[in-house]
Amino acid sequence: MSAVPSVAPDAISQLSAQELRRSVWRRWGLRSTVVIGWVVFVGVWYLFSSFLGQALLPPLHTVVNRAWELITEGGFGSNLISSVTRLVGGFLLALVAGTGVGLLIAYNDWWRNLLQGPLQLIISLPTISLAVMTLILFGISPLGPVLMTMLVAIPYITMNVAQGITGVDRKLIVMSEAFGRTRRQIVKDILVPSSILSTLGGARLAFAVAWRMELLAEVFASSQGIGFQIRRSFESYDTQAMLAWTVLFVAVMLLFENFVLRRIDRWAGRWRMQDWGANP
Amino acid sequence: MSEFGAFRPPPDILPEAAATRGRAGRAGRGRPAPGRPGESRWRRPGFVRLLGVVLLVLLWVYIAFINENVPGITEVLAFLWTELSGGSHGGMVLRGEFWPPLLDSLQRYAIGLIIGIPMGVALGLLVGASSVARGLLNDTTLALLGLPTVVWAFLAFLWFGLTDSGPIIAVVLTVVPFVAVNVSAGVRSIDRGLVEMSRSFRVPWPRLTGTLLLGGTLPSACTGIRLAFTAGWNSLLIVEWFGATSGVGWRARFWYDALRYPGFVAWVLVYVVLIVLLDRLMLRPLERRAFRWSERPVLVAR
Repeated sequence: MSAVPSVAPDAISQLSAQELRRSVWRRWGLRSTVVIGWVVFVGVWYLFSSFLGQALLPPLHTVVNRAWELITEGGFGSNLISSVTRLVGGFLLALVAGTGVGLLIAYNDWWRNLLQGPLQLIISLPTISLAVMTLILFGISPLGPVLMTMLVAIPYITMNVAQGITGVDRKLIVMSEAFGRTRRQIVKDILVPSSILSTLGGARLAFAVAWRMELLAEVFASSQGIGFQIRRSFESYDTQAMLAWTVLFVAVMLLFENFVLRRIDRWAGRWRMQDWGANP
Repeated sequence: MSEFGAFRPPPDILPEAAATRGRAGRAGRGRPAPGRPGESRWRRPGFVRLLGVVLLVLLWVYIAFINENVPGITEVLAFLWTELSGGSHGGMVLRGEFWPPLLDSLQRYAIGLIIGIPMGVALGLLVGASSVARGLLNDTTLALLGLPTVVWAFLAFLWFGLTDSGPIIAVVLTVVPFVAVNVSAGVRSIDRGLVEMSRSFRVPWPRLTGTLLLGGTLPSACTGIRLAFTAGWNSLLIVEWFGATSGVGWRARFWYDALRYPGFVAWVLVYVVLIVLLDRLMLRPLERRAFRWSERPVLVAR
């Protein structure tokens, strides 16, 4: 709370009315810049498409039309389902494995040292080599993309779980033990709540990496799914379809990241807001 | 948090094992009493780290053993040696080539970074400092950042064909958003109070910019640049794989298409070694340097 100015009540109400009006204006001004930004973006798109030609960069409305066609009759649903199934499979596996390894690393120096090299290697392998290795190892099968998605997601989850556990306030645990709390209570009320935010942050990052990996693996080693469709349109020089598939898939993924995952974050971070006020 | 700064790098060093070393530490794995003579070597960090790498190599040997498509480690190293020494690759008239593709790629990579990083910094400063620029550019930059690299690679190939510009543009397009996002997050993380204070104390603006803006932005900018190096390398390889007639990506694809998998794996090793060396020898030290001020407690300094 800011300090209350010592002036007459009338003046306060007048002041706040004025400030309110100004802040409303400012908010609408900022909102309009976002709209203008998108308008400019669309304008630049049209400019480039007239400059490069329709075949190389189709105008936006044709891409939108094409996307709508793909949704209504082009099999977007079935391809999306097959991509998302693999993605979710790989991601859930990574979540389980990554959390396990993260716990191991957080509590044990030996395992941390052992796994440092392998985890760093996974992070520094270029995604293209992973995608090609999928093809070499598994051929064209649904298993390859699932495993590769899992592989790239694991380090991010592992590191964030380990960090979350390490960052738990030791004093709280010592205090709880002094007051005779059981281990179950400590885990449930201290360890899990204070490490969950870091874990979820890791999961969100891992998800962003995972769906891109999944897409690339499908480009190489799949006969269905969005990645495969993107590759097929690229190979037949159908830029319009390529962009339409991409835009649809990216939109779905970004919506998921920004609404579902973020909402879960907020739900998990509830305790923080309630207890100590709005921590930034 | 639907805004700039949503992109954080993975923590590069695994955290020290749990802080809960007190009684609660035993909730985890059992920790035998330290200093038992027979076990000490098995617990030495350097040794255990080496063990991790050795296990990884053993895993490779095992996979190569059960899957005939996967080349063994000796084959790959022999192939790499042939590439390096320019020897013959067997029956065909193929000779080893190592430096020409590598130098071609490094040149494209360098040009892409030299164009992309300043653009990203400028964009990031603009978006971080002005809320109007933020409204105008934030969402669109994030949307472009959201596009998978492979799509950029395809587009660059379609637009520029088999030239040098395709890979360069792809590097630029990958680098700009990464740098911009992190620079603007850095600008926004600067303490407003410090800015106000400098204003009231009439700090001249060159010094304000130099100390406050640069010092405050540098750590996060360095993180962004480090990430951009990795991401740019990644996308360069993808573009070269699909649309180039020279470069390391092209070379790997060449051997892949010729069904000479040892060649492909050898080049993957080169990619990894290169990016790890770059990261370890150049980028990490730079980043640590940039972060140094923030770790030094101000009041007790010197």
